[in-house]
Amino acid sequence: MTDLMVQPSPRTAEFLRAPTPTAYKGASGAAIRSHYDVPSEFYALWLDRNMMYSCAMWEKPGTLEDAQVRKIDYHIEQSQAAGKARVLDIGCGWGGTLRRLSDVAGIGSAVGLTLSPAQAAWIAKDPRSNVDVRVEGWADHEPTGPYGAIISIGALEHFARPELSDDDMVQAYREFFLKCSRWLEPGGRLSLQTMAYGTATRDKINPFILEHIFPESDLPTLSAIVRAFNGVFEIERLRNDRMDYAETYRQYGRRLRARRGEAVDLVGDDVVRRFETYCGLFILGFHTGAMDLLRLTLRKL
Amino acid sequence: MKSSAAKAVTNFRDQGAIETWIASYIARVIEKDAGELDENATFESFGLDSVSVVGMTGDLGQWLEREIDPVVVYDHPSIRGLAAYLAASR
Repeated sequence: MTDLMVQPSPRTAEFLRAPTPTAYKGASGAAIRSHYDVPSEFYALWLDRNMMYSCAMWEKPGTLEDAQVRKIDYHIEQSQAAGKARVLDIGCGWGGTLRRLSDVAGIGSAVGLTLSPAQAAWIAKDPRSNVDVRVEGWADHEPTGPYGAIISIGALEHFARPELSDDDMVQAYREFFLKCSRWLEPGGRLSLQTMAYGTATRDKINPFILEHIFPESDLPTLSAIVRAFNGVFEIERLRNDRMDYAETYRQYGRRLRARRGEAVDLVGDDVVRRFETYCGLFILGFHTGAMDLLRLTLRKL
Repeated sequence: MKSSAAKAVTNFRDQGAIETWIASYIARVIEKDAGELDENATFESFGLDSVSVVGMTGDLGQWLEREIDPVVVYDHPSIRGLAAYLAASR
């Protein structure tokens, strides 16, 4: 059975030893793998056909797949990625956004970053000639040229750890924004989607989530994000679509229930229960406003 | 159609039965006697956390063979209120 718990990684140990830590570079590969390397076939049972594992857009009634494509298209539009020579997707998951960029957005090429080898292997099963997927974090990425647009959906959640002070979290996010800005062409845009604390604070989030679902990760606050990009990007648009995420998790839970037997065969009852609990907690969290779902359009200064 | 109608009848639970189920569930979680629980008190006052709420609505949904959104617990935050809502909304 795949264990969602994670062993301390060398990078974490190194970070903890460092007398004057440099800015935190995000959750370790081991932590990301513990969540996302439950076999991709498990996620394929209940995610939509494009394997989008992030908040959809429910502007009108339709299927989960419709709402996920609407979300991808929103980010393509906001980042103005269509027709650009080079586009970067930070935290590319199973490649839904990359395939859409390649298939309909008329881009020259796209680069996707993920820390999960299983996700990269999944993308390789349905490749595009102008898409390059790399198993590396944003902190280690060395682009071969400037990007015309950057999209990052559901990755910022993994850039800070619960132990970091507020200032260190801002510094970690700032490093990310500085890199994105450096990589973008003049006036280029970053379309960013992330969960964030709403009315909840760190100590009020159920420890189940941090221990079992997103080890080594902590959510940002809107104010930390704003402090982090201040002077680096200007904001063009900000939406809080938390009800979209409550509905997305409702769909996830429903779809997982419909395929429960197969899911248990694949990963065991404990893991399925963990995901059921997590879906329920996130329905509650987003419905009550304990957590927000932020969509930000940022333009390089 | 016939079989789903038959199913609906066999799975019918009235408000009293649902109240009993919820009280027993909470009693197990907080290790008290079900008879001691005030059916009009809020779930929060029993010390139920969000994981317990999610577990309860999941198990209750299995028992009633219907989907129960965990947010209904926030709209109907007592044993009696939740049971009345579920009995009326089926």
